[in-house]
Amino acid sequence: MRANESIWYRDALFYINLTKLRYDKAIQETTSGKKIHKISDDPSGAAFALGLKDRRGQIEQFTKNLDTARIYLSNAEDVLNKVQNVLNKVVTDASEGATDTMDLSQKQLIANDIDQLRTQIMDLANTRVMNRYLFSGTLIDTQPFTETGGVVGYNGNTNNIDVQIGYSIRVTTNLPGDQVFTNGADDVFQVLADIRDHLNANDSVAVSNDIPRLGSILDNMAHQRGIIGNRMHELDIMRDSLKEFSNNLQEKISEIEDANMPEAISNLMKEETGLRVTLQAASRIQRITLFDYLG
Amino acid sequence: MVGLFSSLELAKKSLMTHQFVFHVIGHNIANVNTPEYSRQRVELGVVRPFRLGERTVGVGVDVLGVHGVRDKYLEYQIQKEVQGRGEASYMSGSYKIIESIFQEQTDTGISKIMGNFFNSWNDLTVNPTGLPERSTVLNNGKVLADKIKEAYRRLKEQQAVENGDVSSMVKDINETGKEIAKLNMEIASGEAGGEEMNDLRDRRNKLLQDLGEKVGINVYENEMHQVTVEIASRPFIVGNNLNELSVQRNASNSNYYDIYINESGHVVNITNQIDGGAMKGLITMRDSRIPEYLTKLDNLAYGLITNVNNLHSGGFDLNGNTGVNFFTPFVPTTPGDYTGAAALIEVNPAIASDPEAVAASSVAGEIGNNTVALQIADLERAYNTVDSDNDGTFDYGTFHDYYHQLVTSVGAEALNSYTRETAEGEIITNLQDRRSEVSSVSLDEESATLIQFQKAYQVMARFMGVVDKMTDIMINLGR
Repeated sequence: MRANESIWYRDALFYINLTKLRYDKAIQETTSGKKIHKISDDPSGAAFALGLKDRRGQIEQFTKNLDTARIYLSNAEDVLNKVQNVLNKVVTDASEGATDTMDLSQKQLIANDIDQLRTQIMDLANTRVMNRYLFSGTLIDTQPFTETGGVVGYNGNTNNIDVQIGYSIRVTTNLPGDQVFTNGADDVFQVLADIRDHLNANDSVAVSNDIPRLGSILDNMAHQRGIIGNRMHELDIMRDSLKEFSNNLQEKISEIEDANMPEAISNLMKEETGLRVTLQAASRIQRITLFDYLG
Repeated sequence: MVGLFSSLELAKKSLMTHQFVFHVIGHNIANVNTPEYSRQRVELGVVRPFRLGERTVGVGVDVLGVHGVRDKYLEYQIQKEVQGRGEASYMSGSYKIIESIFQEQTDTGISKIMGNFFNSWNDLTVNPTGLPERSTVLNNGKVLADKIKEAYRRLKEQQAVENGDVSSMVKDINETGKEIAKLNMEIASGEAGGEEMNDLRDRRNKLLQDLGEKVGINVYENEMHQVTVEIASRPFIVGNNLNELSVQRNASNSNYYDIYINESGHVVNITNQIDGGAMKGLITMRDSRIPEYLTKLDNLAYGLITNVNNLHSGGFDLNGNTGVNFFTPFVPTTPGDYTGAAALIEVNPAIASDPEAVAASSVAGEIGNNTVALQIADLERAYNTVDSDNDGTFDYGTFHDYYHQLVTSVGAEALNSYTRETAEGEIITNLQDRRSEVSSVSLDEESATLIQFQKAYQVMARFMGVVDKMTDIMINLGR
């Protein structure tokens, strides 16, 4: 075994290079706070993180969809709430008008009132939110209810507008108007018109017959409001679970990608010491040879 | 006749021999930093004695020969390993660039941008008539198409650069070959006289290593100490003859260069038989790895184009029109061959600047209908959207999964090439250390030898002085 200078220089160079590469990596990790800078740093980890990030992106989108869906639904709920209040008032007024103690002029006043309330309900049924008619099915730019010759017709369709709020969960963001404002063959506008006309005709019996019709319309409306309430409840639950899922994903992503700082810093210090030692050793390779001691 | 004059002759011969040794020591020291140099040792021996009557009389020392101290087996091993290093380091260089094309650690990776594209369809489901949402769908479609095209173009560029390396590498190989052939001749004629051509052999060794770094070779040495070098098992250098390499464009491989070797008057294609060195790394990258990645991008692009189009062309736009493709369709000439899909992907120019033409509805006139937008948004998570085995049917999904698989294989193969390069470097350093143990010049050793011979030289010089005095005495005897 012979040792000689060329071995020392070659080895010194080789190890300086290796140590420098590790030192570079340690610096990169500490300054960026990330373990993975390019795929080859950890191919399977990087791909895994990529998958998680894609899912995180989708979850964010679902949350966004959900928030917009909630706007439509809460507006619809609001409308139904108002309509219910109006109808309750009509029920009270009509019940008064159904008695014979009231004279015709008073009944006509009530009839007038009810007619205005009818117009109000029509306005509510034609509510637009963000340029969309809430109650016309998918024909969102078609005014759902219009009146011709005293008869109100439904111009929308019965279709739903669904949006994705989870991997396999969709929520319907609308209620077609015919489902809300009609009940079988009857519709709220017709009933109100009948009550108005019967009051004007001073026909108490007919008015008292109209009131149960209004009752069943109110029942249906309560049912529809329940549907919206359920959907909104579902949205709230879903939002929480999306939030939790997104947090979990974030945690996992950071587990894979983020550097453990204390570890990274101590690693950097270790590599730095290593590099110092290697460089120092290399600098000592001097030509201490026999020649130095020959005269 | 033994006498003063023969002693003088002996002393002269001895001094000359020592001077010769000094010269070789000087040569060794001068080459202490020449990597390929093998230290040289002078073989000394007694001069053939002559008989004088009944006695045999020695007549001093002479140089029998100068030998290079080398371990042929180690040199053979280094020779083999540099071929591996050449291959690994070419591939690792290539992967450093390719890997940067698939940079997914930022928010501008294909995966993220694909997610953005589908998210914008989701936004459209929430507001199917919204012009901003529609514009975003078109714009994100364009960004996605551009991003895929960009990756494809950069891969193609890298492939072309590597192809350019072929011709310059072939030129280098021929040059080195010429030099080796010339050295073969000089060594053979020099050594015919029985003398070792050490320096020429060292030089030739170095050239063989350079050659091996570039291309896989087999080396045989014959009894005349000439080397025969084979490339792809075909003779490249025989004695002082060189069968040059040449290149020809291959029409069935994008007009890239094939490598040919001259063989008794005609040329033979050896492109796929090269088995080591940078050239092998290059061919692996240019002809198999990069095409694999290109194909995967093509498959992904085709899957996107076709699946989105199938849904989009069945839908209706804001004005009730139907049957329009979202992306410019790609029609494969042979089923399953989507070559170029990733280079051509673009948003159909007919709708690119017309947000109203985005089809979100499944029924003409139902502008609030978002069924088609929902379906397209769902494609992001749909299986069987990519034809992974190029048989004409979609069998792989999702788009994300397919792309992640591509990214992982690039990353894993890149890592592999980096690791291999480092490992080969370490092996070669070790082998070179072991070769150095045997062959490199040690200054201490040389100084020790120098002192040893210096002493002998001094004594011999004194001996000569004594003989000279005695001769003097003898001349003056008669006075």
